[in-house]
Amino acid sequence: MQPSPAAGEPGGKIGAMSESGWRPWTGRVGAFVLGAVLLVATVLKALDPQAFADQMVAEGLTFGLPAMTAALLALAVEGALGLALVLGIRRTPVLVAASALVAFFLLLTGRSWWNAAHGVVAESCGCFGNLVQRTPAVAFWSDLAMLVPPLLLAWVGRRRDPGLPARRLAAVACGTAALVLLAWRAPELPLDDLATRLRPGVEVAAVCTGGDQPACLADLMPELREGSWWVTLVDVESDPERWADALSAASAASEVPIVALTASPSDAVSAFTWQWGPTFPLREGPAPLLRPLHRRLPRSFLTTDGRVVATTPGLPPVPPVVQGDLSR
Amino acid sequence: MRARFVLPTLLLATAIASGSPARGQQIPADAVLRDFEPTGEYVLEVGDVPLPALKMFRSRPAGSAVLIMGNGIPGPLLLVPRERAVKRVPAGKVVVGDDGVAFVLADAQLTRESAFATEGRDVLFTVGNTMARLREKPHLVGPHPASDLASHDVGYAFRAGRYSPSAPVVQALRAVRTPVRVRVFFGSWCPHCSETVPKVMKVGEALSGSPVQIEYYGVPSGFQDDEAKRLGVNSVPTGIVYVGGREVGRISGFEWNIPELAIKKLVDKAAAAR
Repeated sequence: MQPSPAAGEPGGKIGAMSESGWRPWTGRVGAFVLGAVLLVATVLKALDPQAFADQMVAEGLTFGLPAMTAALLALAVEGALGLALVLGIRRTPVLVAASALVAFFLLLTGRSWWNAAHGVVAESCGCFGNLVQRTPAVAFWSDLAMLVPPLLLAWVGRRRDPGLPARRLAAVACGTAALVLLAWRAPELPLDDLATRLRPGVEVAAVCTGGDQPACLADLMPELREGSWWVTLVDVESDPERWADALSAASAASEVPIVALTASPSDAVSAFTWQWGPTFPLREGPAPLLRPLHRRLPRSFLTTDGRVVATTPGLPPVPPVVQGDLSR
Repeated sequence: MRARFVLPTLLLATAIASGSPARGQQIPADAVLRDFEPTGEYVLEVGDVPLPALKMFRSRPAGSAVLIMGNGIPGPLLLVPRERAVKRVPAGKVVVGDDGVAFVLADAQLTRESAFATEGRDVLFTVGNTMARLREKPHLVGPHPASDLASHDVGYAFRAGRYSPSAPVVQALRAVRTPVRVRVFFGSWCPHCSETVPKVMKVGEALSGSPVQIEYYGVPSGFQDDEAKRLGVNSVPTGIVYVGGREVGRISGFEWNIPELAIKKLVDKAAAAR
């Protein structure tokens, strides 16, 4: 007598019989761990999709698509696989796709490591977004350790019954849509403190790039260790008409000194100075140090005695006495 | 009785009429055209002829405006970035205080000389009908004595003059018996170095003739320098302190706030280790 499959679950009792023993449990654990890692990575990147898109452009991975479109598609793929594995979908097609993704990550981080070892300037991989900064070597070995063992376990305990579970697939589809929606709308959401390394309570001395010879914000601006300062992160090449004059006005009126910090190249800083005549000091800093501190620019933060006490999107609050500006 | 006031009144009227700025003439309360500090970032070429003797000043409160004066140009010129304009300042309407900071007097009637344009990092304009180019000086690279830094950028000497090293610390360093060498890696392109290195120069001046010697090494922007790479210098300013020929520590970041103290700490640490 053939057992009848449970509705919506192809394989039914046959599938249930194949889930006994140590292999299925091994597979469940491996798939869950791998899926969780992929999901966390997806969410972290979704909080600042522009940074991920920039990373994809830098790595040449947009395949002709607009950068943000490529980024959202990549997040959808990674998120879908992560959800599927967390929900226990350990069928061969899913594991094949997951294996391809893991191999791709290892290829990326391996290439970055090779480039760094051969003197090619390499920033750490943005696989985990801006919140986690790793050297190329650390990125490769940590990806290897986090992804390969659970993937192998998932393969060992894969389900061999045909078909894919419809309900769980629907859950994956809904979850993936939610992740893509989050990534699409994230820049407008008040998530800067969550999505970047800059938030109230952070010590300025702790804001550093990774690597053997880290560059730190406290070295770039040692004056932040004492007193109160507003620091505004800016891109002098991006819409200065929106903020340059207003920041000059605020700088002239503010009791708390204001300093602007930019990762723009020196030539751009020179051109900006001659065009906009800023009244605020404008310092240059390395992109690997500054990029993880913002999603959009400008962004400002207030420090007191070396600790970030407040952050705000845009410019520092303008003192109420300053009503006019220096607009042309 | 009226006669007592005639002479002072005549003198005052003469001073006003002559237009020459007396030292006590009022500094404008207007914050716009003030606080011009000496700068040596640029050299002005007029008709392709460099005029290195010109004095230049820059004011951030005045919107990063640049004031140029001296022999070679017919009167002081004011480059106003906000207006992309070069303006002529009447003779006698610029005051340079004893501290080296310049102001444009409140009653100065500025006249537009020309517009300016940027070409790369250079600024182009006309003086009279002659083309002028404000060109950034090449960066200082490699080993240089302090005098080279002062010659390269008068702003260094100006800011050095504003710093007073701690006399007891300097005295203690002068009493050191073992030779101490401080190699200061800096960038003449680096705004933070332009604030910090002058302090070190002043400390070096105070330690002149002592066993503590300070040397300066200019690093190009981008840090593509064999010596900097060899010594693992990846930020400026960085000071490497050697006591008795052996490296005992490095100075960076906030430690440069009081450079003589940072040097002394490392010297004391080396002495304690012996």
